Amino acid sequence: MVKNRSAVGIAAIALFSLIVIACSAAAADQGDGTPSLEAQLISFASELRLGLSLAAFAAYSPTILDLRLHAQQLINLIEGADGPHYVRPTESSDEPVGLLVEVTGWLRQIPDRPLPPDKKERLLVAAKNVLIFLDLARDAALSLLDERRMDRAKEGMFEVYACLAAAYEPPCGTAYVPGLWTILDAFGLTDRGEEPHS
Amino acid sequence: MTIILTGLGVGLFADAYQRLLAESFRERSASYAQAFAEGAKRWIESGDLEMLRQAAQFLLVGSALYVQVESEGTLIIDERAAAVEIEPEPAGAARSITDASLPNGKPYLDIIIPLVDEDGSPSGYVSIGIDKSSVIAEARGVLLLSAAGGLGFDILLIGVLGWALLGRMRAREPIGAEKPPRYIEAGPLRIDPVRKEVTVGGRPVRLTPKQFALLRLLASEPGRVFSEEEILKAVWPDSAYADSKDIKQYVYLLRRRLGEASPEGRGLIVTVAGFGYRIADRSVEEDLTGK
Repeated sequence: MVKNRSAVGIAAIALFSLIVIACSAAAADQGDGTPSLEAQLISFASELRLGLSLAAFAAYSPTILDLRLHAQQLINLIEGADGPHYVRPTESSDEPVGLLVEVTGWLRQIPDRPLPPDKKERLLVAAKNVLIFLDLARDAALSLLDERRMDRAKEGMFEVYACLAAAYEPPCGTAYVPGLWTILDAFGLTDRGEEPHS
Repeated sequence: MTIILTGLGVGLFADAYQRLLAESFRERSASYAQAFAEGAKRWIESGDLEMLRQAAQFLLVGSALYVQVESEGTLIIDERAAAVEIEPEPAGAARSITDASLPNGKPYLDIIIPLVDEDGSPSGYVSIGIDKSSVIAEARGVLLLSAAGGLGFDILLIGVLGWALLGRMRAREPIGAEKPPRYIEAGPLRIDPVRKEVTVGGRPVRLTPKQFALLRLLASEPGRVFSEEEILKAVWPDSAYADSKDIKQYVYLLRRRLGEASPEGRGLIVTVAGFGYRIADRSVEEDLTGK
């Protein structure tokens, strides 16, 4: 019982922290009630990390059924509730917007941002790359929905993971394909202590 | 014997496969829990408990029965599948994989992965229950398949052996072989061995058993000369006293009976001096004489 109370307390603090972070990120409100691009990017990065975690869980699933379920969860996360391959979970209240939908939104918003043209161009390239990698990840996940062999399914899920990781673009100090990290960095949102590309 | 060996083989195979399946499931479940624990550690560090809760809920859609995360002595995540009513017991920070079962008998693996700080000191743990029902069902399926396969093999083996045996039996009977004729015929003579009836030119001839046996022997191969020794052995097999006189007497009586019955019966039994007796094969003889 004591533990439960503590858990509720921690959860409340965490929720409050999230609200504070969200509010500060949305400080540059666009006026029409939609979150700012910065707030969207923070939320997107968090969802993409969740997708990466989900792909990692899936790759180590104890059964092929678990792996397929996680593959469907990933497709839901990537495509969103309006996606052609979205399957509504039986017990879920939140319907995801979809990572692909969010990136498509940036592609419309970035040209309107007051940024130097070269930087704007760089961000558009990065956003398109994110879109491509997410598309590849979605296709790879779709191919696993009917897979019956565990070894093949696991390999396929590593492919999904690799595509999502590429979309996230973890800095690796070498020639790279710009992705989410480049965009986060452009808006000063990289708070994970990662070193930028050299 | 084959069935017993097959059964033994199937049993050993099924047992080995089940063990392999259980071991593999255990390893994968541990890796699954470890992957979640890695994520949990990062989410706790970044304070993103909402993502941690979402990730835990993702697991519950599959084989996970419950997911608990304790950090700094506080249970921060306690997500459970609707059907689970038990309170998983925190077992400290030690890593463990324990076989357990729910009150309704459903078996599961209780996996505890300790969480450690940057400096290596324990900060909490992740506890996940993984439902074992699917792997048990799979093992049962394999057992049933193996048993069915074994039974099928036995049936196939019996079928093959039966077919081979049948083929062998058939091989002994030439294809198209006809049943032996019911009657023994030699010219006008006709013998029915089943009814013990004899006719000559269509007229019945009444014979004693010994006369019948002698006539049947001679008529079995029309034209062939049977020696007295052969006749004695065939017609009087148990008599040490029968001799050529008996043969002569019976041949005389036979000739008489056959002649009385029909003129065609006369001269049917031919004496071949110095050798024995034979039935005149008139069809052959007629061909040879041109009659």
